[in-house]
Amino acid sequence: MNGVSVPTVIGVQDLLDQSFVEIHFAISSKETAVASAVAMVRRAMEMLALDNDWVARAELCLQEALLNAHFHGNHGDPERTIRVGCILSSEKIELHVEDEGTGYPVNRDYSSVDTMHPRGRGLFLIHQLMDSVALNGAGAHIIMSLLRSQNHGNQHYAG
Amino acid sequence: MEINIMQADNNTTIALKGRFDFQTHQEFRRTVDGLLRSGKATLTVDLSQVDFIDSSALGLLLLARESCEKAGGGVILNQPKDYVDKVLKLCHFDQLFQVQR
Repeated sequence: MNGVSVPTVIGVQDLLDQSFVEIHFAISSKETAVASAVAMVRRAMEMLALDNDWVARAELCLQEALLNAHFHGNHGDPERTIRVGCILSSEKIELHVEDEGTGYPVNRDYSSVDTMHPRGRGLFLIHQLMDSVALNGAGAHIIMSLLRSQNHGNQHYAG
Repeated sequence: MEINIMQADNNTTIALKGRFDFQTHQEFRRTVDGLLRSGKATLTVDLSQVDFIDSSALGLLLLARESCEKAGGGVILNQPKDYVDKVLKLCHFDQLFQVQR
């Protein structure tokens, strides 16, 4: 499916109560594979009937992280791979994206954006929309989380 | 994404439908460049049927704004849906563009 590996589903538990899905897969570093991966994760979130606001935040941040991995981490090389992991539940969404590059600058301030520059908004949006963002190792592995315990209050993103 | 161009009096509108993101980069740029070549320097981008916008699309809007301003016009954003409007505000696009709501 457009350079997307067959997903490994780790667990689906108690569909009426603490339902969650954990999915791991890899994609070729290609734009079509990025689009397919985002669509697949969105479908999984919709099947779990997760909050619309969370689905919108997670969809955009996953797409931004995958595009960063493709263009910047893997330099658009279709021979390279992007690994994706998702834990999806009504209590927590955790998204992992790992490329084969040398990583993002871990200590850069992503809390502001150059409003006039046509690029550089991906990581800014991720930091604005997710509750927690971590870069592992040299920064080639980004972990983005939404947590039910966080008060999203008036910051709701999707209408 | 679907792109339609509408002309009414002196107003040129680019109506977008669907996902406005990295996959529409070339088509959107071609559309804007074509309109600029035909002398249309003020463009309204109708976002009322756009369901999803990403940072690539925001970059495209900035590039379109820059090109139109160089030609003596500008870009107006029309009726973004709630979801899209929040991304625009988050990135301070409401300060860079005229946004008709």
